[in-house]
Amino acid sequence: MTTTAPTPTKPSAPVASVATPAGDAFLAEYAAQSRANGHAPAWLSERRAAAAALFAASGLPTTRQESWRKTNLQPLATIAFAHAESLAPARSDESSAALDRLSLPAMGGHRLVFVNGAYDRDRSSIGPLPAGVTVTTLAEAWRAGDAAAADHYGRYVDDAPFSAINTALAHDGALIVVPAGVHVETPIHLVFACDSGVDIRVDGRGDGRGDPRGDDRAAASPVAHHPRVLIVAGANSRVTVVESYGGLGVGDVYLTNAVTEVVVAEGAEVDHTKRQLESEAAFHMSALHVVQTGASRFTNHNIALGGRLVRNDLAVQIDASECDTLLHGLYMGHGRQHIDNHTRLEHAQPHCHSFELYKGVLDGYATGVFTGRIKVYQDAQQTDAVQENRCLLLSDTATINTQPQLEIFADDVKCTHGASVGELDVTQLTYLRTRGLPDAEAHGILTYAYANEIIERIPVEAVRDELEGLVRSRVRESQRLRD
Amino acid sequence: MPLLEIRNLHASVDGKEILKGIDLTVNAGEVHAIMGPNGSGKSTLAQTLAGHDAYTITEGSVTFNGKDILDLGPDERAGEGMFLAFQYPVEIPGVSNTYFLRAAYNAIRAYRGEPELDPVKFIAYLKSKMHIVGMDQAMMKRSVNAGFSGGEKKRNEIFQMSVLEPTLAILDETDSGLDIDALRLVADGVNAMRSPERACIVVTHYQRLLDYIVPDVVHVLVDGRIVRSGGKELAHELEAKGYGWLEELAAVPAGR
Repeated sequence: MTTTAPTPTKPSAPVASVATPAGDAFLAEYAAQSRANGHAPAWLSERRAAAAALFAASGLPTTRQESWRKTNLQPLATIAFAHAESLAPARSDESSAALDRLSLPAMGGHRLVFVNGAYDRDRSSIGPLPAGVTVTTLAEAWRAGDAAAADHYGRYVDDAPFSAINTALAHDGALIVVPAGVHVETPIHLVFACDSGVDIRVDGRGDGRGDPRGDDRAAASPVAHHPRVLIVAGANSRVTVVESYGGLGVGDVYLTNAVTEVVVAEGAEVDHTKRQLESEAAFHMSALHVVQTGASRFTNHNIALGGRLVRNDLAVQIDASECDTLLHGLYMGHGRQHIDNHTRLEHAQPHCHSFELYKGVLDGYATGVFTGRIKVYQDAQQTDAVQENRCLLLSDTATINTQPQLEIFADDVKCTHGASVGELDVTQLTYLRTRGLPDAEAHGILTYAYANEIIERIPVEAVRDELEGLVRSRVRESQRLRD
Repeated sequence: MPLLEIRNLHASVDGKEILKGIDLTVNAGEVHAIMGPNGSGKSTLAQTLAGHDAYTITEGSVTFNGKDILDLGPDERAGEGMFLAFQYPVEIPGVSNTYFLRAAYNAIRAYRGEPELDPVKFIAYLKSKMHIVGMDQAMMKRSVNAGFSGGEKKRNEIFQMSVLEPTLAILDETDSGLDIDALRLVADGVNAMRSPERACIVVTHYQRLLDYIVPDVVHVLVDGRIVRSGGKELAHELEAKGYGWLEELAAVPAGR
């Protein structure tokens, strides 16, 4: 034995930040799973291992990082989340009713339901699909050696820590593949529910370390699930997808860490709605990565009503000319909710159009963050990009941080951005009052109308109807608290 | 008891006095026209009566149905039975006409201690009113005034009036920007409302509307005061002679 060679230093890995109870638990879970799961295809095991290594090096983000400056993950980082799949869903009447609401049977169409990360066959329903269309679970696709899964899975997601955790730990999810020229007329609904069994209402501490709900499951700490979606829309195809997220108990503490990748091929149209109705004690981290090619259209409706600490990262890479990209967002926070939306549009090719409208309604002590980055590359001449973030603050104690970031390297482009923060329009309020509506009701109607500008763009009627009702009751509740 | 009694009303906006002592009595069943040159205070009077908070009342009193209303908010005045048809109706994107009218109708009922009308009955009630100013189903689904033409907005004001059934309707230059067909529709809507229990104040710059809504009394407002009142023939006199001769009268107030 000779003296040991000096250990090669890892390039600038902020090792200190790895040492969080949450981060350690994720890595321990990965280690346990990689020992147990021998049957994953080799390419998948490799991608998981690479992602785990990435996360081991980076750790959870901290407020020292620019894009996390306004979102402090401390409340999440201190929890050693258990893997949700280890916890069988409770199937109490309460959680069953909640799952029904989240599944939105009125929507019809095709539905894949996952509870605590595991596919729920009984609750799912896939109707007749056009020839060649795949709507299945990722686990099934991996078992069957599906080529689309192997080609695209994990190719578009970036190196961000939560995405890496998802790639390392996601063991199921949804795969949608629409072949060239096929139009899927009925919407496809993907439901990701978490039945954590840990309810802050039980002990009232609200610190995320609640006691297990009265059932016989041994959940000592909150669980995490890692929903994963891959949508591949072939040339000139068309598909509408709704993703729903929610907890099955009102005060449930858990982490949803979701990743969705979308490939929109030439001439294809994808309409994607995210309906986020998490428990108000839950953590929700999500990443959406979209790649668009020639003359395609991608529309996203990003609705965030739930969650205690919410972060959405959306990135659209526009890789060919004549593309349309529409990003619509609505975030409503009250109590002490924190909702952070980071969007990134990369205009790499000429003659593309993007329209981004985010609207926030914040009440109580809620905080919001909006960072909208638009990068227009030198080749992307004749880009037409519009970005607008508007936020309504209903209390003196609500806060919004809004920041447009435009980086423009082409000289013949039209890019506008605007941010407005404010209160309701006095002229409109007066008009409503002259029609007999008391001040509070006039405020309610206008707040609802403000939010509805986003909801009315959602193409699926059942989703629209439900969200309208939720927004109305949220507005009424705000007023009750004020009175 | 008169329906509306205004005594020595003074109102100002941003410290500038616009109404300089208005006296006006309107009885149930009457239609009063208020005419006058631009800037005379016609719209200020209409909006002050409706309770618009841009105006400060510095002196005087307004009683409606025997009740002092100057301390009431615009919604309470609507509950008491007042309605202002705006000169510039406000657009409210995201709120459908149907939803808006039902909320307003039920708010007024709540103010009067009456129960809400259920949605099905309300829709039937709404339909019974739609023909009056030629509203159609599609317009009811659209957002309040959003993207409406000038004429559609004015018709919508009259439609709201016929649904809310006020005892006193104040029309603030509802004729401005209307072609003759729209003018007729608006006038029909107002005339359909006329009854011994109701009154109407028609604020207008031109005599034209008064051919269709025939007033009982015409008042001429100049520089914040009513300088002359008369029968409907006064409107024709104004049409022929203009406002100039009355403005001269106003410069030397009678009796001082």
